[in-house]
Amino acid sequence: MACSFTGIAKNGPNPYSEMFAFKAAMKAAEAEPVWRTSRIIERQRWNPYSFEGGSTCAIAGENFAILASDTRLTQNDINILTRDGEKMHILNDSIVLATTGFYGDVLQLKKVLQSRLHKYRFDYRSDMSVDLCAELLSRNLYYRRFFPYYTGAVLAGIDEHGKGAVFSYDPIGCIERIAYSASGNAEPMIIPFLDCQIGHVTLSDEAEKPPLTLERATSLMKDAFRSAAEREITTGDKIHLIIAEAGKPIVQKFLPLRED
Amino acid sequence: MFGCTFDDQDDEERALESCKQSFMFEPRHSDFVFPSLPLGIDSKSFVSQHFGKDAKNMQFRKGTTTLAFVYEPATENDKGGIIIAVDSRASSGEYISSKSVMKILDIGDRMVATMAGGAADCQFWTRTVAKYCTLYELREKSQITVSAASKYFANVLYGYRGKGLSVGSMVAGYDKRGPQIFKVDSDGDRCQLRVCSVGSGSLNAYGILDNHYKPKMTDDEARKLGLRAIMHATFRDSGSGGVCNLCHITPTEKIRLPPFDVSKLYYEFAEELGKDIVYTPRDD
Amino acid sequence: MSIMSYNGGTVLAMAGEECVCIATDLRFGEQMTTVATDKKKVHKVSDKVYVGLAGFSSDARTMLEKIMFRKNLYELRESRKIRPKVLGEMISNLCYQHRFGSYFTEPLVAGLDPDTHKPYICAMDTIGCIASPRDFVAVGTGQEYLLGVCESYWRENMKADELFEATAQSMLSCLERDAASGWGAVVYTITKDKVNVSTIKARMD
Repeated sequence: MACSFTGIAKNGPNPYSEMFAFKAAMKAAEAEPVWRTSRIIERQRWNPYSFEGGSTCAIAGENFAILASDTRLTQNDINILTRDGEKMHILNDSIVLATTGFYGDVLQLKKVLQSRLHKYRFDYRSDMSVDLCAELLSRNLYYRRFFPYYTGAVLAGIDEHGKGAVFSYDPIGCIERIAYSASGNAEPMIIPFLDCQIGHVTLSDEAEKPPLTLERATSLMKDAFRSAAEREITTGDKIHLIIAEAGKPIVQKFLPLRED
Repeated sequence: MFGCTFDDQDDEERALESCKQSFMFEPRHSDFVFPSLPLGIDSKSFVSQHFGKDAKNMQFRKGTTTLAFVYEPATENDKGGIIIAVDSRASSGEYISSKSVMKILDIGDRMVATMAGGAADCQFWTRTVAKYCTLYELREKSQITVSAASKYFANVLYGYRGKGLSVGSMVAGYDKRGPQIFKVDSDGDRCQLRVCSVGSGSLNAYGILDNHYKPKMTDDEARKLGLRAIMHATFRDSGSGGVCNLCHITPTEKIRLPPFDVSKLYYEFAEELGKDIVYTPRDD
Repeated sequence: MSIMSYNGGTVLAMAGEECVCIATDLRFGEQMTTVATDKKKVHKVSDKVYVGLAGFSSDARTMLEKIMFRKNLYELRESRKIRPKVLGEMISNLCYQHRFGSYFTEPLVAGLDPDTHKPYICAMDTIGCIASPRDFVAVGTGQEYLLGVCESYWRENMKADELFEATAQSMLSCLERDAASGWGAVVYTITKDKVNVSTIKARMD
């Protein structure tokens, strides 16, 4: 018998170069398989998402939560689709969902949550609390782990103890309860400002810090959006303000913003 | 109608039986499937295309330094056990999306899992493991071992191998076999270690741990070592920062320590060494 | 991670009434790792003219040497101090000469006119498009974070001490959220009498 089981044949071709050639061929086949038709190639470039821009922001206080968003929807960052799009959705008396991103996914997410909330109300004869809804949203975002919702969500409201609550998410449902949050194109502009004004990160420990009242939070929110609208092209037109106070109905307001 | 009749007892038993059937079943594969992309599109490349490095605002939160080690008490007054120390930063790209993430997640009352890699992946799957452990303990009426919990975790992750999950978790706890740490990652790997660190700053943390770790330490020494390792990791690694959350699992209890600001720790450390860290710029 | 954020770093300049402030962070990194924490990105070019170079560090250094060379030549030839506006144009010109193989650095110029003490600030992109607003400019990895904060801090006609406060606060807020810069900051307050240099303690993570 010519072949031996002990190892490399002495006179045959170099097994290493054969191995390299084989690996290269495998790699090439993986990257560009022969059976790949133009239709498959097109499908791999398939993009189901678009991005309608804008930004939202939420602040939680001792007994209130305040949310704001702009009302502009844009296409490709340039074309304005509408000047009064709705980015915030009041889910019930104590929960508000604020989202930016792909508006189709935003609407789908809102619908999913609304139907779950409706079912909860039907089953338990009471409204869902914001903590529960926050976990629910987190799970629903994660269920789409392999085809995520293209949304940056912020959920805010009044919790069972009458305290303001703000939950921030990433697109696949990493959840965290924090004092203030923002999402959307102007997030990098709004958050450092709120860090400074609400988080007081630049002040030393001894410095006197002003308490966060509803008035202060509202005016900070307006300032944040006005400065974001100066510099960020997809944010503008109107500030949509939602104020949820413990024991009071939710109040909505619209304030003017740059329209260019 | 008045009080308990035999019929009622039967009902109760039947209810218990049906309860057992629906909740206490032997572990069986869940029917749930994640909604997926249309046929022919790979979810890993799709997700990294839309939510990867080029995506501006829509990146997933990640980046971490976590560490855990087992030690034995040096004196009689010490408790020994496991120290778990983590930082608290979540970053998406270069943007720090949160400075206050809790990266030590509870699994039952004797075990914790740490969170490194994709934040959402860790949060979700740790919850799944916690649920499994609770059901196991109800069903078997005995405490689950760290080994079993981590193995379940690793098996779940192995099932999603190649789909783009990113998890690097340490399951740590005290059970009948003593203090144990298992490192589990999204490739399905699982290994038992006594000194362990995971995340972007893990190499820096290992540097400190390898230098100062002793098998026998006092509680105070051990906690300081955890803090110090995290502090040095956050200093060198831009993906970690915020506060240092510490958890100490002793043979009898789980102690969560209040968070320490790593920046303050750094300045204290510099003062302790007498290191001159004040930078005086030259006006040239 | 693009080459512009390989080393990290942020520079900010703000203009006030007969004064300007220019601030820089101190981090020098290689992607995620911090290598040094004493690398300022602002350099003195002339008495009251400073230039900040954010971006890829080795290109920034080369650029600085070229700038110094041209500026020295200018001052020798004209035998007068260079004005910040002239320096800005000069750097813009230098950048555009490398239009099809540009240096990966975004220059920023801040200074006072030697004669009129009028403040001048400008920033440009890698190929030298000058933006010279009257309020503030920022370049580097933390640019976006800075624009948001500065917009709410900047006021018309700030005095030197107010300007310093605004610059320092804006810079610190930016460093809180930018992972690629931080580890301390330096602020240069340029007034017609003197230049005040101060180091700001920042978070070390």
